[in-house]
Amino acid sequence: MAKFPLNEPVDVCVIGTGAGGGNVMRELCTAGVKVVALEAGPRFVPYRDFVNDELVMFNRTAWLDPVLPAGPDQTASPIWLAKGVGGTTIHWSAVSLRLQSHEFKARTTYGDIAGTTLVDWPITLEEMLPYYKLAEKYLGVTGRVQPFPIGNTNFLVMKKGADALGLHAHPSYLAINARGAYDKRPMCVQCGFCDTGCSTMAKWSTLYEAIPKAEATGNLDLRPQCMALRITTDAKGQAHSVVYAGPDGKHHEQRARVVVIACNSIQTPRLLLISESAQFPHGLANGSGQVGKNYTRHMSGAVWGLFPKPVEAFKGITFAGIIEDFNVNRPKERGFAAGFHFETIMMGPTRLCTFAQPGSEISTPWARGLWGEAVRELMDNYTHTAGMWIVGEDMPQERNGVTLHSTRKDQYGLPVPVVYFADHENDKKMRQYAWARGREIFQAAGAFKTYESPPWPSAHNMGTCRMGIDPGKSVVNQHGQAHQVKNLFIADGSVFPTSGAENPTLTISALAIRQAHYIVASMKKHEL
Amino acid sequence: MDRRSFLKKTGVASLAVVAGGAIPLNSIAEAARSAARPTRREAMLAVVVSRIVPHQRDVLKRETGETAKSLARQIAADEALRASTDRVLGELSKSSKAAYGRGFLDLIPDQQLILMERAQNSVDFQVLVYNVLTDYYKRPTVWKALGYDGPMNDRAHPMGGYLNKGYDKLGW
Repeated sequence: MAKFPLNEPVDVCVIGTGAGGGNVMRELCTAGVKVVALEAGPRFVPYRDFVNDELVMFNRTAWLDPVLPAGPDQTASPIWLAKGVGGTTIHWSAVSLRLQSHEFKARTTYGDIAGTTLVDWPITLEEMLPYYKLAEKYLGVTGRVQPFPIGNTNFLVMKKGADALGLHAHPSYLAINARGAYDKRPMCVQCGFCDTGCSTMAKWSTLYEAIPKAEATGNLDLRPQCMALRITTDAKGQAHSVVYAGPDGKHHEQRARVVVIACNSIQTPRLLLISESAQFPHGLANGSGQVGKNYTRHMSGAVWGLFPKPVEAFKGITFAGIIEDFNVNRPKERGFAAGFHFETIMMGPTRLCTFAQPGSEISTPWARGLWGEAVRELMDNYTHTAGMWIVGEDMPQERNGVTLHSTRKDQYGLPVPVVYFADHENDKKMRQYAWARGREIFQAAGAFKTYESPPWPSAHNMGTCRMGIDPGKSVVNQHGQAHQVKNLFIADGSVFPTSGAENPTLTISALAIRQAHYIVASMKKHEL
Repeated sequence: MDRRSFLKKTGVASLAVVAGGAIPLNSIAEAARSAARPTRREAMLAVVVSRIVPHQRDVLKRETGETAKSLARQIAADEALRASTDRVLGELSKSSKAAYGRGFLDLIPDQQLILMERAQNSVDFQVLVYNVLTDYYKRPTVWKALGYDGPMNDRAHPMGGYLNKGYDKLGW
C-alpha cells in the first residue's frame, strides 16, 4: 500500500471504490499507474465488521447521507447503496449476468416507444465479450469460471414450479465461491446472509479482491472517509483536481492527470452538477444537458409463496437460482417491450415482516404494510415461505433522474440530491405480467397463498450520465470518457444508456476494466 | 417528514412532528416511575401491539408485551416518536368514545380492530406498524418460536452456515 504526499499530483484520482472504481484501480495499478483513491466511507474488516444481522448491517454499511425521494413511484428511500471501501459490492447479491445482444441495441429492438429516451449502446456484446470474460475471471463467476452452485431449498421450490410449467430454473451465475476456494478466498458456508456483507469473503467484493491487488503493486494510495466535494478545472477546461474533505473534516486538493468518478448513479451526477463553473455553467461535462437524466433502476418486485411443507429458504445463498425464460422481447405476445428474470430471494424475519408487503416507511406514501392476521399468517409460515425477486428492463425517461435540492444541504454543506422516479407504462405492464407468472410458478409448486411485493429502495441504479456517440445527446463516449472533458472518466452504472434486464455489477466491472485499459493506452500515447 | 429513515434504527422512527397528541404526554421521569403500574399510554400500547402481531401461542403472546415495553422506552427518549405514537393512540381513544361511548381499553378485541382498521391509512399508524414489526420480529425468542434458529454463522457459530446441514435438501 502506497502513501503519496497529500496534495501532490498523481497520475489518476479515482473517486469511489465499488465495482467501477475497484476494477479501474486494479487495472491501472497493475499497469504501473499511480493512483489516489478517495472513498467516502470507512474500511471494514469482513470477519470483524460483517455480522449476520440485517438491521445492524444496514446501519453500518448503507449510504445514509440524505437522498430525497420524488415522483409518483418513488419509494421512501430512493436507494439502497453501501458506503465503505468496496462500495455496493459489500451489499450486492453477486448475481453476475451478461447483458444480451439485443439489449445493447435497445432502440433498434424495441422501436420508438412514446415517453422513452431509448437509444442503442455505442458498443456491442461482441466488443464487450473479452471484458466480460476478464471480469468473470476476477469475480470468479459460477457457470463461467467456477462450477454452478448447488441450489438451496428456495431454488428447489422455484424449480419444482418451473418444471411443472415447462420453464427452466437453474442455479445462477454468481460471484460466489459456491463449490470450492477460488483466488485465495474460501468456499461459501451457505449462511444465507449474502447482502449484509460476506464475513467469509466467499462472495466477491472489490474490498478484498481488486483493492488488495492494486495495493500490492505499491501504486495505490487508498484514502477512506474522504468525501469528494468538487472537481476543479484548468483554463483549458480539463479536470485539474479533486477537492475533498478528509476524515477530520479538513479540505484537501488532489491534483491528477486523469480523474475517474465511480460514485454510483446518484452521487456521480450530483458531483458533476455541484462542480459547475463559468466554463461549465450547467455542471461539469454537462454540455448535453443530460447529466442526471435518464435514470433507470430496473423494473422490480417480488413474489412470495406459502407452502404446506417446510422450505427453510433462509438457508444458503440468497440468490441461488434463476429463471431466464422471460428475458426475451415479445411485445406482441405479452403487451410490453423487453424482458425480465426471476431470481430466488429470502430475508430474515426482521426484514420479511416489513418487506413482503411494505408500508409507507419503505415503499410509496400510500403503501399499507401488513399487520394483524395478515402479518401473523405470513410470519407463522416463515419457515414455509419461498421467494422470488423480479428484475427486468425499465424504460429510460428523461424526467427520471437526479437534481440538486435548492436549499437543503448535507453535513459537508453540499446540496442534497433529489431522485425523481415514475414508472413508464411499459414498466407497469411488465410488473403485472411478472407477478402473474410468479404466482403461477409458486402455485404450480403447491403454494396455498402468494404475496406480491412492489419495488423496494433500489440497489440497481443506472443511467444519469449515459454513454453515446453524439456529444449533444450523451455525457460520455463508449469508454466512459466525458465528451467535454477528455481527462475525466465515469466508471459506474450511470453510463448505462439503458438498463438491460440483468443485475448491473458484472457489466459495470467489464466496462471499468475496458476503460482502464483505454486510459493506460492513452497515457502511453501521451493522449492523456 | 424524512421517510428514508425507514431502517435507520432498530425500531426507532425519526419523524418530523406537525401536531401534538390527544393523550396527555408523560415525562421520562413519570415513565420511569410507572414500572409497577402501567401508564395509560403503556396500557394502550400493549393492546395495540398485541393486535398488530396477534400470534396465539403463549410464548409469542408474551413477547408482544416485551415489544410494547421496548416501544415505551423508545418513546420516552424520542420526542418525535412520542408525538407520532400519541397521535395514533389519541385518535383511537377519540374514535372509541365517538363510536362506542367508552375508552379504547374497555372495548372487546373485535371493536378495537375495527377502529385500528379505520386508522390504518395514516402515516403515523404505518410508522407504528413498522416499529412494532421490526422490534417484535428481531427477537430471538420469536425466531425460535417461528422455527428459525437465527444466524448460523455468527460469533457463536464461526464459519458455520448451512453447508452440510440441509441447505440443499427440500424433502418434498
